[in-house]
Amino acid sequence: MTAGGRSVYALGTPVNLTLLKSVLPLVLCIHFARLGVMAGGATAAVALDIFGTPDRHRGLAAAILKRVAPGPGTVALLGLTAVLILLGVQFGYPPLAPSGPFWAGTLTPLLAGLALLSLYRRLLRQGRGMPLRASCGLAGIALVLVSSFLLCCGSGLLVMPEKWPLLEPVPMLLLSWSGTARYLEFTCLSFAATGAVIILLGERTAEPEDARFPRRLGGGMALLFMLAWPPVLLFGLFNLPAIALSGAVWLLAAAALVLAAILALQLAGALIKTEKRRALPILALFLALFALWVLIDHQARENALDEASRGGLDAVLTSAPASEKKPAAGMAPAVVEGKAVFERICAVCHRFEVRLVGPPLDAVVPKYREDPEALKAFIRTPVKRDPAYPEMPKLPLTEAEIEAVAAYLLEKAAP
Amino acid sequence: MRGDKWRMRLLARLALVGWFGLALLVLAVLARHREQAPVAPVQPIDFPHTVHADRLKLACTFCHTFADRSSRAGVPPLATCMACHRSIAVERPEVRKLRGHVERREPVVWQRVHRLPDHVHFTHKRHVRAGVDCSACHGAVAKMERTKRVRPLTMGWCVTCHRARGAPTDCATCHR
Repeated sequence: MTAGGRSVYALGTPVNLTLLKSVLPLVLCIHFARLGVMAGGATAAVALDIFGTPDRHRGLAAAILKRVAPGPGTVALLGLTAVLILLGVQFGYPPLAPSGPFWAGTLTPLLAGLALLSLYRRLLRQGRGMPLRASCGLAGIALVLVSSFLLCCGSGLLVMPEKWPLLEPVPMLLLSWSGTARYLEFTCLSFAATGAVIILLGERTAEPEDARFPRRLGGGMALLFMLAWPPVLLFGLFNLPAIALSGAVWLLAAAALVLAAILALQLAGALIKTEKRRALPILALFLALFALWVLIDHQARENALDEASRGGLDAVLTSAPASEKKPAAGMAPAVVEGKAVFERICAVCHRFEVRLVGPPLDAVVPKYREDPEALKAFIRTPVKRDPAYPEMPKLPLTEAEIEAVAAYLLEKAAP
Repeated sequence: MRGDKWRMRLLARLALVGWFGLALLVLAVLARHREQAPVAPVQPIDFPHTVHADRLKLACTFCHTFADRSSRAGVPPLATCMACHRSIAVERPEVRKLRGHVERREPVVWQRVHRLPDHVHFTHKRHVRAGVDCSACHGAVAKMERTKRVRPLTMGWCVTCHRARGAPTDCATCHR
């Protein structure tokens, strides 16, 4: 499974890999943060629309949607970042180049979901068609979440290089606990960050009376999902393959937990002391948390994909059975066996024509032509003869192998 | 009344700190637990496969002599190392360490990198003779400064490969 002598499991060239390593996490951060806030905001808006009272809650639902739901700019940003992520994998990790169905399966639900949410936003503004409107919003959210699930699960494969050669026969490998955990982490972070956006909306309201509900709703939502996040993060770390873990991953995870704790304290403050404006610093902290989350993922990927772990993937499905090595015509069986032993053991130090660690065999073997037994005795128990060479070790050869290799040496060496 | 409110707020904050503190504690335990079963344990002698397998191109079976004829690949006896290192690179600190073990007649306690559960009957011989390259299960050992485990060695992984290669998947193949 090599293409032009190069492993099909080789990654990109060093230059474009370095570039990708810096750009991909940034794009992932932008995509997931924006998409997450959009999905969370849309969920909050639909919930308010369905369960709230029209006069009291619909206004807030419309305000949330106005801030988070897709206008043409958001659609373009999310579509572009999704395409960039898939392209990044396509070129940076060629062995895992997303297949046609994966491209379609990720992008189609994303774009369909964005379109439905856009339609929902318009229907809500007009205040029309309630059952249809709610279904439209719910379907949009579901589609966006499906697309994120596929993307998260697909990225889970990047930390499991041992599964790459076996992907084709078993496509179900796409579903993994570590990918699922990554998706749950994303959902928790998204809904928590949405809470912060709702707090911001409340703070921007002129009337203090109107600010109370969004602040409570947003603060409560953000705090709840922030509290749900640590167990999910730990579940994800628990499920990461051992080769993906390192001190850096643990440190980044600890930093993320500390940051999450600061965020939770800030959110509690926003719920308790309503007079202070806190939404913007909280949103900035959320962005930093998204960045840390993407970095943990990135570090795990870097750990799992070093040269040593990618090595040998070509060999998983290919074989070179011993029966394929056909003996040269006319060779006696003992000589054939001797050749195999020579190539496995002796060739490490010896060649026939040139000096390597030991002397050229063409120069020494002919001395034993008259006395093959002496050659076998030497192979059995080597003795240092020439001070110009290091002493030959006693090798773990069976009597049959010594017999065979002696026969091969006498046959092959120059007369 | 005011004092009660203040106390409640303090308690709420403490509960939050406690929750995240607990998460940090679990994280530390998880990290410690994984550290005890490292993928690349520190070895008593810093043996570089990069020199022997990569630069010198020694075949795996040169040192792991039993890989193609026994269930275990075998860690080479010190005599195998000393066969060359009696005269090669004798001044290197790690080679001196090696010689010290030989002179004291004290075995080197290598830390095991690949370990399968007792109920798994794995034979190197069958796999090597079926043409599976060592690197399929051990990764590019020649590129490792310190040997590490790069494959999960889980049942799912073994079975997937067995299926893909048409090898037997009967339980008794690996469990006896």
